[in-house]
Amino acid sequence: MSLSRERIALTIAIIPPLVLILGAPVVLYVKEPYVLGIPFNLFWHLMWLLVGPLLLTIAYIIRVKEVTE
Amino acid sequence: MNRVEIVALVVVFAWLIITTAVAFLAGIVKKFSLEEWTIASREIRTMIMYFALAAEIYSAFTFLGLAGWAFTYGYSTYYALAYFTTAYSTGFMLAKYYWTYAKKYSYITQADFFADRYESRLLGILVGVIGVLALLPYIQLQITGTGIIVEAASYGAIDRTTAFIIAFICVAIFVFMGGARGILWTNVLQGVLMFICAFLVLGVPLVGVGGVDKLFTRVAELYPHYLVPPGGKGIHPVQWYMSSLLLTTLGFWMFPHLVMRVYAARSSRVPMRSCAWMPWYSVLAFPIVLAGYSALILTPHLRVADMAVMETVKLIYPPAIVGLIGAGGLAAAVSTGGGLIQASAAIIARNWIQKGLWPKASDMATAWTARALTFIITIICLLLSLYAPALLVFLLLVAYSFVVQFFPGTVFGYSWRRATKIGIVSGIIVGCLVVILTTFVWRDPLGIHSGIWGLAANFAVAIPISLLTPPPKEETLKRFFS
Repeated sequence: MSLSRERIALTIAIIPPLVLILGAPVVLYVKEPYVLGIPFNLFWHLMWLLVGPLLLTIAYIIRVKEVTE
Repeated sequence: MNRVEIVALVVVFAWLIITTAVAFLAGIVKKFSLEEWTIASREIRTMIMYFALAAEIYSAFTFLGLAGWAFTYGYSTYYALAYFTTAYSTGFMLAKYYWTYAKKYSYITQADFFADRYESRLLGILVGVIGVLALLPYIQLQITGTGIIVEAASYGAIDRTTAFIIAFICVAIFVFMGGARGILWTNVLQGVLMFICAFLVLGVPLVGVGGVDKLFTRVAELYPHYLVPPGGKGIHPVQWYMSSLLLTTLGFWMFPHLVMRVYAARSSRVPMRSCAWMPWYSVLAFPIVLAGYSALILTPHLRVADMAVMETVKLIYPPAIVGLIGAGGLAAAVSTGGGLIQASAAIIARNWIQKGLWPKASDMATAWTARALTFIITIICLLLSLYAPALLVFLLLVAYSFVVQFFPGTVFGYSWRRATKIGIVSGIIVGCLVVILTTFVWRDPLGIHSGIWGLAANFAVAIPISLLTPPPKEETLKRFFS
């Protein structure tokens, strides 16, 4: 098992929690601009529901080669 | 009962009957065994797993509470949207380890792992006891939610007590017969219905208010403080959001029923794929949040915040559609409740009885015990809901904070050879004590969630004590780290 590939996958997978938790003190106070009629802080959360799976899919592709079925 | 009530009721109860029948049939097609009843013989493929995990998002809380929170607190509800992303990152990371070792060493419950890795049957029992105590209030939440949904969807024709008793008798029957496979199929049905319901609920801001942009323009005019911390009631500062999000990110996959869902997979790729793509499904929670905000405009004097979805959909849809949305809420509560009851029964039978009180019990005897416990747990939860709701409120306050105390033992179990049973047991006990202190004596110090204080104390105790106590046997370590 290549440890580096596992580490790369886990590093990518941890990006959404890190950004959402650590970005909160700034992002939560930003109402404007409104995007698609939605305040920016709410749009930010919606955006991560869409972007998060893309990152996890990349992590999955990197990781899956190591999984012993 | 007038025509409107009858139409809505027929739709709601038709769904309940279909769900019960599907779960019943799914269970009886396979030969009954402990592994089949508890984790569907580890045969579940990606599509079913995806909906199984989706059903865990769409519980009664999501359907009622999320909108209720938007109505009462505003921005605070965003933390739930955030953890629909972050918790699945954690799930993606852990699922491979959960599944691989469960398959290799025939684990059925989360407590099996703790007992095996740390060479301690007592630790297994402790994890099993805390796990079941944490699940009980969530079962009660689904029971109460079912009552609220059916009462609202039937326009008051059926009172909530009658509704939840009927619904949970059906749940007990299908869990008894269908086991894990039956529950997973009810989750698939729920998943499909949720697509329809989410689009229908989206009609509330679009048709009822006149569009999403108009909705937020009105909210910004009338309730500007709802859109930023500390929210509608002024009680949720940004550190509350951050610590709650951290707690759910780390704690979500410590719940025993979710660990069992991963064990049910056909391969480790199945839960990894499901976790990776789950946030896309969670987008369906977005219309529920919008419905909560819409209630501020459409029904500002709503007495019970949890009724925000049901009361706003009644303003724009005919009874049959209201019944269908009610069926969606019912499906959410019933499938989640079924999973929680089944996991509790499995843990008690496996870890309290087979690995504790009755070590000579065969797997078949354990499986039948788990089945019987389905009815006992359902009856206990129904009685507690009726006669001692305060006890469950107490458990609910600490449930999430308690299960997150399994995090060090879980992560160290796969990654740190020096972690010992005494270290992990001490960490869990100290962590739970700190949770009780920071929940009931000194509530959320510095605005940080009690579970995070408990987790910090847990790590602070587990690491030094592990280093000071003898390591596990080399033979055990080889099985996990070779």
